[in-house]
Amino acid sequence: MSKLIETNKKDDLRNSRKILVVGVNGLFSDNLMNHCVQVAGRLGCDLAALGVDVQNDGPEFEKRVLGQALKLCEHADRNGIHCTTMIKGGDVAVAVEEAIHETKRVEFVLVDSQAIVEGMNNVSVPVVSVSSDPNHKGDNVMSAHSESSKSTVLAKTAGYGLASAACYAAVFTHANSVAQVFAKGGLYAALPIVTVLAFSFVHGAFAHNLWSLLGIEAAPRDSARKTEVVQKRKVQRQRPRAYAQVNPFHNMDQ
Amino acid sequence: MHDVANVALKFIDLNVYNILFLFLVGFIGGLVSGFIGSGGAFVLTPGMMSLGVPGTIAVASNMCHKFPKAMVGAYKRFKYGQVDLKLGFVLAASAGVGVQIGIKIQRWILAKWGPAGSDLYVSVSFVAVLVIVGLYVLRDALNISKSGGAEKVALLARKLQSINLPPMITFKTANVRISFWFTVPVGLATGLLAATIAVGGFIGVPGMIYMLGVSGLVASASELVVAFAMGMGGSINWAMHGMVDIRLVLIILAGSLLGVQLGAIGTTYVKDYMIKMVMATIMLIVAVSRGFAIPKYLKALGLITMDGGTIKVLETISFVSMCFALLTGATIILASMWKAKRAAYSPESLPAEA
Repeated sequence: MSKLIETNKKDDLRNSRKILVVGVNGLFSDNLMNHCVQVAGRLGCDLAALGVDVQNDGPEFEKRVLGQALKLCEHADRNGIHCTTMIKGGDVAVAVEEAIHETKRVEFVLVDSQAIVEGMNNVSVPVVSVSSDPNHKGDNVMSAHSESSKSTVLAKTAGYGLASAACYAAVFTHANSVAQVFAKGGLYAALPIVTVLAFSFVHGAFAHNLWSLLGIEAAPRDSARKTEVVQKRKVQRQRPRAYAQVNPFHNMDQ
Repeated sequence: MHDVANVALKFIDLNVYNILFLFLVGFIGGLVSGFIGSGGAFVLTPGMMSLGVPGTIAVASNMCHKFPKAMVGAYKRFKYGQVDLKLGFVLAASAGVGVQIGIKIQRWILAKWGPAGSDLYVSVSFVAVLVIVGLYVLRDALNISKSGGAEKVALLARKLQSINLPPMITFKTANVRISFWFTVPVGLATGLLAATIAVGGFIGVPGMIYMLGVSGLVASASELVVAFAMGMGGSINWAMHGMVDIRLVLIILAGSLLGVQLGAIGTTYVKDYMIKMVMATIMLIVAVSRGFAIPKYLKALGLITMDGGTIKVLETISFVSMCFALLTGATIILASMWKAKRAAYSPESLPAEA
């Protein structure tokens, strides 16, 4: 039994590399969906989602897998990844092997349980499992941290944004008189200089936080970007050889 | 002097169009400056003048927005480990002397051939320097791109670094040890060009790369320190003469502080030779733009004859192509950032279920 459901409008027989994502009983965990989209994006692969009807649920299974597959393919589509969906019944390993042959160019298979991996020893491509434990400590810590840092950035952006707006309002509500006083010259020269420095601090901090809030931040430092160094090669100085003189009569007295 | 400023302040009508224009040019100029270290502000002076601001007020206000922008850009890139402060300040010292020499040359030309002669000198300098340096930088960027993206120290820089002429200075971040005397011509030329065409970085950054052996990334970042030091000195001078229109400065600054930080972030994504590529592209388009302005000054000096309508058209082409240079630079920066960000792919997560 094999059925292909085209979720995206593109041709499902694209000659691109694919990752086969397997949902036993038509269930794809959020963890599996997030991970497969991330990996597909990084590797430039398409996704092929396979729902396997192990318990022979029939129409009920098809309804379930359609909902789940739609969610996965929508998620993939949002991130610019092509996604197709398949339904098969019977043994998971057999269904996966069939899907690999039908889909072509499957790089590896992603599943969300180590138990499923153990049952697929004879599958012709590597099978990788993704932990879907909702109580996974790492995930919880990460998301809590990211949420708190995002709210801090939001608060800072709002704070500096308000301060910046207040500074601009203070100057531009009396724009002409301020401009005339600032253009008096002589010692009044300090006024425009101090003002631009103060504005660059407040508005600069706002701009920094605004870009962070929008997710535009510096890429991590890359060690490969260091420039070639022109320096004379150090001459390896010959180290003096250490000689130890062993006194054969050292312990004679004891 | 104060009267001129006050007349200008009364003259300018700050309507929504003017404010948006200054903000946008400030933003794009800031983006380019944050990325290549300079070159973003050259459209602002003619831009402000097209809004009716007198030349001196436009130059002064442009300079007054440039130094805090350079400061913020330098600070941002310092945090990324790209700025060599020592190199920046050493070059700024000789650049200060270069500015004074440039001003003296300008005054001498002004006295001898009048304003048209001075403008012609500026335009010819623009075209000559930008074409020669721009083509050299472009050729280098293309070679690096073809050879896989690794920057190599130029032959001249290698030779200069091997000459032991005291005092020798070690620039740690730039990873360069070179005699102080070889930094002087780079600084002087930067100052001279800054006094002539107001964009010293067009010679300062290539000078640091090809004479001193600094990488494009560190050179463009350290140029922001030079721009800050020179700009602050110039701004104090202009402000003491009452030539700064604070309203214009603050509007431009609002856009440029956003742009300069985006440009600085962009340097962490792209390959180093992209800095050279953007710089060369802008330099060559600006050279063409200034080329269109030359007939006007030749006519004023009585060296050629041309009707007023053609001169006006050439002037418009010159200004539009200058804006085009800035826009092209900004587009390349944003496109390469986008491309690099796509490579460091991180998709959005699934929304949490209720």
